[in-house]
Amino acid sequence: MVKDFTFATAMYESGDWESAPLLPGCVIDALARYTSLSIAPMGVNVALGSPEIFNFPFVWLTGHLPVRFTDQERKNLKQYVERGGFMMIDDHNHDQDGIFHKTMTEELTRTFGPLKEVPKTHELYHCFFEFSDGPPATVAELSGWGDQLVHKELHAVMPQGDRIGLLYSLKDYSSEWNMHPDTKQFSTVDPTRFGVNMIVYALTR
Amino acid sequence: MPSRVNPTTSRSDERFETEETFFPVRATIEAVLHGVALVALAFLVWQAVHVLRQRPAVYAAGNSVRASLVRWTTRQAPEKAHVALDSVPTPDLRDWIAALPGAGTQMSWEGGSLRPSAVAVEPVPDPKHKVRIWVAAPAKSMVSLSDALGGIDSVDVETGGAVLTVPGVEGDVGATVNGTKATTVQRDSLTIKPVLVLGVASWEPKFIMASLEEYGWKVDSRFSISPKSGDVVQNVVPSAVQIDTSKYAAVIAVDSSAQRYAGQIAEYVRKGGGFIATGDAAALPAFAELMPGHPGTASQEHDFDLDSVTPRTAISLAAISQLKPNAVPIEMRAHEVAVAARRVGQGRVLQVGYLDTWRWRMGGIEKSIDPYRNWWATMVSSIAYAPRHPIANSSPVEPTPMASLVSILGTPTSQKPPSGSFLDDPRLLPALFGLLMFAFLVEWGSRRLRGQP
Repeated sequence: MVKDFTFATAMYESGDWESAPLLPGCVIDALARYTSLSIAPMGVNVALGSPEIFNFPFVWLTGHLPVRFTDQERKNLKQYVERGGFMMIDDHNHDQDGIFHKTMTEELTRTFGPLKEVPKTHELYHCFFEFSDGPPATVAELSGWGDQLVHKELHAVMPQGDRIGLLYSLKDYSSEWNMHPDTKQFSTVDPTRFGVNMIVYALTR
Repeated sequence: MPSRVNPTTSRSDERFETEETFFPVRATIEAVLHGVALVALAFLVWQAVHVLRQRPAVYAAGNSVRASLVRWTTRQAPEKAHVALDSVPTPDLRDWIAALPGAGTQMSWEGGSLRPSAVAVEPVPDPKHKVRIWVAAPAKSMVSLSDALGGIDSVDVETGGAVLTVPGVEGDVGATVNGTKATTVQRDSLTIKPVLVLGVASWEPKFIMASLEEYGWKVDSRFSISPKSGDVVQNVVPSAVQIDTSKYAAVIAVDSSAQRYAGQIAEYVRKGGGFIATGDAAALPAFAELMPGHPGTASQEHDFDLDSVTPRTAISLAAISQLKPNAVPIEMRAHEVAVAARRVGQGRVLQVGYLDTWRWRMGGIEKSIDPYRNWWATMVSSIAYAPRHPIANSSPVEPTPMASLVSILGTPTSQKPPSGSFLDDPRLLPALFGLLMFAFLVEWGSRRLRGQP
């Protein structure tokens, strides 16, 4: 009995959790395109503060606006990571001086302590597609939007050894992958391939 | 006028007569003391002959046993001896008691306060708790465990024994119960090899693998992702998985993707390997010969209770039915078999009826991580293949002190042997000797003070 993988987007009370509505479908499309995994065709939205979050070991969280978690959201987030879930948090602003980054890293540091840098040799970059230079650059970075930087690494919470429980990105994959799947045909390289790596990593480590 | 002095009587004679007159009682006492000394001397001579001729029955208890053994062995060979032990004697003392019958002494013993105990140590195929210590002890007693490095733990025994698993032991392992120490040593060690997890990339194999790694198992894995891209592997050569007892302690198959390894797994199990099948893997026809039973239809699917305090009662279960004759139910849920085990060839197979156990860890109550992790680690440990290697150790041990005592000294008896007359009392000789010397010295001193020889 192989259960379907379900792409879940976290809803939180502050900020704009729904800022990348097309992203789940685009990543699901990539998963279906490159793997033979059993995948739920539609993503789900699940409240970070509800116990239902624990039914989805992979959760995507994004936004532009300031974030302040409620006590229950903070508690669930901590338990979620400790229990073995994988949460991807992406700054939709691509701005290290942006309000989302500042408030979110403040929340994460408060909950987990300082985030760790994910080395380029990490399994995340090699478990399916090969990303030997680390996380792929996004159009937002290359176009000079946001903080006008190409961030060379991602950061993470690693509760056990080098196993990632929470991956934090300033690269704005939320903009990069927030498109209709058919749009990918106009790209030389499918930008959502790194999304496949993230999910394969979450499912196998 | 007659003389007032008798010319035939000297002054000394006169004084003697005067003293005889003045000390009749003293003389009588001296005579009595003289007699007592002579009687005592005669009795001592008789006693010496008596002891040589007819040996007495003697008794010793508690701390006096060792001193008594010295006396019985070197000065007095009693005909019968009885010892009352208040603790299990050291091996040398025990053997000493056991040797007395060889010298002609009829031995008996009692140990009313002694309690039987035993200790055993065995290696466990478990990376975290590598040694299991079994202790047998009386109910309601406290056992203190120690090894060469010091105290290990203590445990209150409720019903007659206790089992502890510990990370390791060093040298002699002792279990002290009511002052009696049973000792043993670890005689074997195990080579613990990795575990192989096979499945399609999904939450169940991922959480099993993660939990086993967190527990301490080294885990290899092969997760199917896509026919084109191949599998995601960990510590495994992507081109071929070689399932053999030389490489793996156990193999866990989670779903039908294990079909392609069915031949290798069957051979691996017959050679001694451990195999766990859960989910669709347990229902594969290719594994039907190995499985302890037949997997039923999944129950309680999708109704995992997030607030459940007993998560294993809430996760889905494909109850195992039609158990094979040599299959053993390992875990029941209500009246249904949830986990069953079976020996196949030299190996062991475990069939897990629970489905989506990862929900237990992710969605259980707050303290769900350790129980889930430990449960899976225990499942693997129970079937793991781990070759044994002897450990050279020649130190003398006593794993069953009370049983050894009974074996060597015979059955204890609470009936003391007849102690004979007071003449057999070993205290009589020094008492008589003291009396003799007292009577002799007093009599002699008294006479000398009177000027008598």
